[in-house]
Amino acid sequence: MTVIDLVSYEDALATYDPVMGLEVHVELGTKTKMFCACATALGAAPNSQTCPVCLGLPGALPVVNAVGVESAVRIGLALNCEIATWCRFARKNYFYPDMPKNFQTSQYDEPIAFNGYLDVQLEDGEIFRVEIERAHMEEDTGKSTHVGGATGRIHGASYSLLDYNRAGIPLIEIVTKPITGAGAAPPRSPVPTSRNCAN
Amino acid sequence: MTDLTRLTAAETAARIAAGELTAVEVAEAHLARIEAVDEKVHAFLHVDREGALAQARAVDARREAGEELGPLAGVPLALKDIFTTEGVPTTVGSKILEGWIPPYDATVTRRLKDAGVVILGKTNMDEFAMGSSTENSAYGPTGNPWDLTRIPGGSGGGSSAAIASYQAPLAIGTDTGGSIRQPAAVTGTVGVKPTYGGVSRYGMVAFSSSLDQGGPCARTVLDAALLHEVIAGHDPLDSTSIDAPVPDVVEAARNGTVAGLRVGVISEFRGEGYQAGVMQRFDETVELLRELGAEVVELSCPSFTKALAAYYLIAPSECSSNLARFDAMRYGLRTGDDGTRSAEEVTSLTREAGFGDEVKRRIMLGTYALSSGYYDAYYGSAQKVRTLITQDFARAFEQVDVVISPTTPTTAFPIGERADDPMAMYLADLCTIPSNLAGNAAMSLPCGLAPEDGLPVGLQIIAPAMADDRLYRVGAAVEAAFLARWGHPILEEAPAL
Ligand SMILES: [Zn+2]
Repeated sequence: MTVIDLVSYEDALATYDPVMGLEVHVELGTKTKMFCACATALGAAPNSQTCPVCLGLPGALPVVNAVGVESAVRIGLALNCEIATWCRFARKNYFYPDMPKNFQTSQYDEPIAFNGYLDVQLEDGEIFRVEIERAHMEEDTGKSTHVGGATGRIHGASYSLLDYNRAGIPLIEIVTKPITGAGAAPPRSPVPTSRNCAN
Repeated sequence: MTDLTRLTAAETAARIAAGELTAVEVAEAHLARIEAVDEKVHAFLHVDREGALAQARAVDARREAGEELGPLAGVPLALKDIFTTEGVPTTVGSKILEGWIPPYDATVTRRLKDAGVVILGKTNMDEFAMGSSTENSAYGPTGNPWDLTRIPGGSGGGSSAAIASYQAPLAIGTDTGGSIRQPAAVTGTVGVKPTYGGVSRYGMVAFSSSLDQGGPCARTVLDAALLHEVIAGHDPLDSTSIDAPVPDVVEAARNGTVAGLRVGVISEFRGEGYQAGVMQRFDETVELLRELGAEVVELSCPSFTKALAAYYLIAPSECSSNLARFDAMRYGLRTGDDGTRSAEEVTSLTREAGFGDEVKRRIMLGTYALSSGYYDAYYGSAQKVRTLITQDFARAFEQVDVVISPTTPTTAFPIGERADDPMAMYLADLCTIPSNLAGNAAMSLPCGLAPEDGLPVGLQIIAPAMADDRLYRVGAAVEAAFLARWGHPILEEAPAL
């Protein structure tokens, strides 16, 4: 095994161009969850907005939220994406106590929206184009509160509280393509735009 | 006095509707039968005496009030313990769900209740429906009413044993690779796997989601059809349920005929591993069909020899994902939670204690087959074989109306004989698995007793997807012809318990 010496920050910046991609999770404002009829309103008592589907009880099955799909299409169009005429959900299998089924119902190789872009106007008037790889539908997990540890993480906690009100809240995950060429110019901020476009 | 447990479901319902019998009398007769024989058979994991009598009283009250009753109102039924029942334990034959009381009814449960069917209790099964003998139940095996030292088939051995021993005239099973048809075959009863999507899977604990299908078990073809009609049909809670009218299975069962029918016999469904007496009864049935006016066509479906291998990649893969939810966090068994262990350790200890060997074997196989880098080679290849099998069926159904085969290569084997040999156990589903992979409809019904052991042999009839009525039309004709030949239903030859 070869050991690679760490390059200093200054040398790294001098040698390489930073290339980054963003993965943005957008929470939809639908009245009900992505795969069941439970309410999504904030502030309810823990685990009061749950049912066999979003608790992942044995036997329960998902039914997709039509408004959630419509919102995903709207976001896809806003991002100048191609919209799939046929797509499907896939299971992302991993274990975590706040994941009711121990898989997240998401989209994998067949997202609902793909190949788009977003033109962002910068302070100096320049338009910067961010290429969009895809936007796909998925469900959120429940919320864990780890109590008793120093870090608030599960390791070291003496016990954890689980609230499944969040489990199944519709999310749209937007993934950009690698963003290149931004590093050459001096830092500039985008012009602020509306944050509440997703319903 | 008539023994009420010997009546068919159709007769029972007609007599209740006519006021000649009460649903309570019928329920009590069956509960007494369960009390008398189930210690020996062990078909039931849970008997819901109070719930059954309450439902029976409600049916009687409705009749007295002059309400029109459905075609199965007041008829008792044994429900496989894989369907959720609100307020009544549901274990799926596993320790990991011991003591779990579901807060909701499966769609099948709900439809049975709405139809006035009296659910007597929940039946034994191989854990999570994984097995062909019911020996994989965490609660002990079920005996075959024909010979209590032999297996009643599986995974739905409890359901078939219950109806074969007159503890109920009807039962519900689920069929992922043959779990309705193979138990029907080895107990001398009728079992149907409807077209995939024909019966809602909502509230049916998932084993392999793309293969699982609930269906009816009964002692006659007509009774199976009446039950099929009650449970089938579109369910908005199951996105894979078919949104189209249910084929008229009851009409077909009342008008059985095979005249002019083209029947396919698959050459791959015979040879090594098939018991001589099973093939003898099957070949006699082929002759019978000819005598009744059917045209018999020999066919080859070469991909069927790969069905078992494909099934044992697809089913474990899906099970590994479906069973991930049993993590001790929200319901069921929790082991080792003494305040010193992490969530991960508690999950691990619970799964170690709560799952049996066969379930663990399939979770491991499936997790491996789905893992990164192996997915295409295993799950991907198996899905391609599945496509080939579907194409073989499509070609067959261009030439024939139904395909027939023995349901299972052998009669009921002794309890314990294959328990330590998974491969020998898997072979019991050789003839039934192709229909699950293709999603079409299939039935098993009795076609005689094997001469060498005097045990029931099953005839399998397979019809294209959405042509479930064809099974009943052919099944009813075969059943009537055998009844004429034998002079009595085959179950009357089973020894008294
Ligand atoms: Zn919910």
